[in-house]
Amino acid sequence: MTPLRSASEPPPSPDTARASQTKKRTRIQAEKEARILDGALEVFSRYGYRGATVDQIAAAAGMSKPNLLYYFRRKHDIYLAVLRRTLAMWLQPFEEIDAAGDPAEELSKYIAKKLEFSRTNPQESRLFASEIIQGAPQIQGVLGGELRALVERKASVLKTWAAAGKIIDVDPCHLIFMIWATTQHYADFASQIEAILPDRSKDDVIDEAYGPLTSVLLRGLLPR
Amino acid sequence: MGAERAIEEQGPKASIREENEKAILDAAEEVFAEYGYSGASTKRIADRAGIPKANLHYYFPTKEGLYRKVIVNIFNVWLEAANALDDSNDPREALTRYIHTKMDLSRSRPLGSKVWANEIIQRAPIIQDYLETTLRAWTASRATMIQRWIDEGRISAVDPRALLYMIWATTQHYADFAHQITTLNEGKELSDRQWEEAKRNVTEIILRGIGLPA
Repeated sequence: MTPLRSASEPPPSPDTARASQTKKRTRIQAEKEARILDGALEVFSRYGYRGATVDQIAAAAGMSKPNLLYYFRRKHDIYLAVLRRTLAMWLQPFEEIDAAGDPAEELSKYIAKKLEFSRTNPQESRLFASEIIQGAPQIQGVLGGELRALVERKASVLKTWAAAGKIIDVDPCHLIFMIWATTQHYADFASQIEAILPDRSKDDVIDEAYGPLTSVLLRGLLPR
Repeated sequence: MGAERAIEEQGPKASIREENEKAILDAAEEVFAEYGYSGASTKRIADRAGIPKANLHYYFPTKEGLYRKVIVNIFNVWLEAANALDDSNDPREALTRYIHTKMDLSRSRPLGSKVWANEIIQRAPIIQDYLETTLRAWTASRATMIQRWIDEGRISAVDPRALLYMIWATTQHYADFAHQITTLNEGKELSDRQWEEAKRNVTEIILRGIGLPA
């Protein structure tokens, strides 16, 4: 197998040197991109997509506008990259739900990670929610493409569990929505939660949410 | 003069006022949901309502006042839904009705829910005082009631506020994230049958989750 594959590869050329250079640049590039996205998150959260400008984002990222434009050509690209990064963060533990695993364990792991993001990345969650509330004008393509494909894959895992009697028979999509809604609530509705119980710290709120969320969802799902 | 005016206000004029106010509030709900508070203008709302801007300002002198009215309206609708919790002393029946009504409202009044969510996401710049008074007091009273059910052994022990948040988050998700739900549903809005299933599934999970038969 191996020799065959390498035989089909193009012969080494001067390009190789450039390729390795590109690789090196990629790490720096990734760091710069992350800096831009962090700055952009602040700016978009504050001014919305329409209100934000590339100048503001460059300033927030601590770099010049031409430098920023080298990485992202337009405001739209930056915005999309911020939202995609949020989705990637959320979907990794979703992807990890293992059909062969124990449903209680798999789901509580997922709920815990999802809730943890509401502690560590609440701003991302809120920006994403804003975009959806407005009718997803910018990320429609991502939702209909990658997200939908992944939800379908994971829904089939939940269906398998239901068919095997490991969880009750509910439409997997509604279960997935419930997990998303109840975990993201602690980021998106944080200001409401704070207004209701002002003497709790942000960390306490999340710590205290974990138990009730998992116990209600799991007891709700597992056969008695 | 006084008597004449009183008669007039109860007559056709009062109903014109009501109609105009309703048209403005409906338009405002749409525009605020779409553009947020800062992105919305009273001009746009007046256009959407099909009335001159001056008329809008006659009924609602400021954008903020109009906005608060929209927010308080949806909140009152939700409060009414929660009457189900008071009307029945049976936790299963009370919670089922509450969840069902909240789900129905997410379908019939999604815009109000979105305006509310937008405001909260923006860290409640306009209605902070409202949250700290009305919402806090109301939540405390519901939490007491849920705690009583727990103390009486009628539902399993759970932080009452966490349970309320679960119900709010789940039911409002169907309004606030409707666009995502539609996209994941092959681009089609949930059908009647799918809504019924959503209500049934969500209610079943929550009720079983606190030890009640679904």
